[in-house]
Amino acid sequence: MPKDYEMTLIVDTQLAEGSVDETVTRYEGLIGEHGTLVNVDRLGSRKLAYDIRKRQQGDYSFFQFQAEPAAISEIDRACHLDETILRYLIITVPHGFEVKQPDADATDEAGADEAGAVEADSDDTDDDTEEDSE
Amino acid sequence: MNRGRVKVCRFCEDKVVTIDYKSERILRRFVTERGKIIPRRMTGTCARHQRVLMRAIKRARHIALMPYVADAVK
Repeated sequence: MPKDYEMTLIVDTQLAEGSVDETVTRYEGLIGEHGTLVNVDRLGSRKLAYDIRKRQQGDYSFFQFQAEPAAISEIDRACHLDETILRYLIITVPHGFEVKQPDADATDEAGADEAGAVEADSDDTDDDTEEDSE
Repeated sequence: MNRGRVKVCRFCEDKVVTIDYKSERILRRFVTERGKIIPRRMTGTCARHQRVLMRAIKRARHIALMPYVADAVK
């Protein structure tokens, strides 16, 4: 029985110059071969919280798909060998595809309490905003 | 963040089942400025949600959405 998975891919924006889209499309294809792709979320280029292979930026994409558990090792291997992938994460989605979008969370939680609201507003910019709350 | 004051688990209040590792804004509130996970006794999070939260934070760290160790700015 196929399971629900979610994969995060961080593509090296420097190595895959201009071909980030190409890389993402390639992985869409790969997932398509092994299962059914449900949704792709492109977050785009983002500052990394810490350097990975001396890169400070990476292009984030999230893939939601269904596949047989046996197929995951194939996808895992492909990501592992790919030099243009800075980091990847494949997880099973516990309760189906009801994982909230980052933006939805922000608006939901912003009004929840003042401390959170202040933080949420300034959070987009950088890591150093978190200090205010401490 | 209100430390010291014991509160009801925030996730229970909102009836949250899963905590998304991509929702950095939420996760940020449960780590110190250094990036360490704040213990349950400080945040009032229930055992179950702390566990879910922990997993989310560790995943977020892995994909560099959150730091393992952040430089504390003096």
